[in-house]
Amino acid sequence: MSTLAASHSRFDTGIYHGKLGMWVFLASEIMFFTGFFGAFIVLRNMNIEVFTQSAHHLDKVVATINTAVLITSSLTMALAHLALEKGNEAKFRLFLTLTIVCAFGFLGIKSYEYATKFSHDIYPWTNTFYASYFTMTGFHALHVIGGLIPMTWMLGKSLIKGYPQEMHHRVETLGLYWHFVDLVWIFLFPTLYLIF
Amino acid sequence: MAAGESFETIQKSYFKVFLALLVLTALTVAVTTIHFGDVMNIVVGVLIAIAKAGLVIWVFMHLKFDNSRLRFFVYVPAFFFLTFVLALTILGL
Repeated sequence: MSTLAASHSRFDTGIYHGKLGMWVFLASEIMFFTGFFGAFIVLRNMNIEVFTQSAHHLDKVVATINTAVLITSSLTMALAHLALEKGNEAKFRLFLTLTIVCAFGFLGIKSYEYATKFSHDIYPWTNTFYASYFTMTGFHALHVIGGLIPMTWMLGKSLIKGYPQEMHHRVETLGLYWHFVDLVWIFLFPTLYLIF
Repeated sequence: MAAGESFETIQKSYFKVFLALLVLTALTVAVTTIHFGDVMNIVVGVLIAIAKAGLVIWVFMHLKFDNSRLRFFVYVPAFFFLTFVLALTILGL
């Protein structure tokens, strides 16, 4: 059953190039987001009152729902890859579509949150907490959009020409990226919404 | 995928992780209503986040099934991330 994965793997590293490349990229992404978390901690400790007051204005319920949406999209992404590896392209398309729907759902809920903030005259320049909030969630949302582009392309390819089963490793690599986006949110959610 | 792990086993582990993530999300929200003290609430929140991240990396990101040498790409940046965050928190900068 592991013949497909094995056929793409290098004999010396045991994994294929795409996966190695994605992990190197994700390692740099961890560093990238570490900068934001570091800045957040420093700013928070310098302005504890501002951060505590501002964080209480964030909508915990909406953020919790969004967390569930993103976790669901991670599950469907993993299932999409598994379906393609099994050679079931109809299921692959179904789960990939569900992932795309969840990603748009996440962005929609995020837009609602931003719109509510703007309608209350809260902007990135309001104070250092909101500057951090909009920067961190904004960059995270950009990563979601960055994942949506190849997902949509893969779905289109599958619908038009069919997605070759032997290329399932590309879906796995995209999955790695997508789960990482989920992972960043797992840390952003308590940091911004819960700890104050 | 590693040899010996059937598709059914993998699919089951995906659903288990999914459920665990939902439960941990509910838990991390629920514990905010309890006041352990300012620092302890942060510690509990971060610990739950680390547990969730571990599940995602281990199962969804296939580290469980992959070559063990690949794990350095997680351990090294994760070490720097945690050191950096802990150092800033403890120094109280």
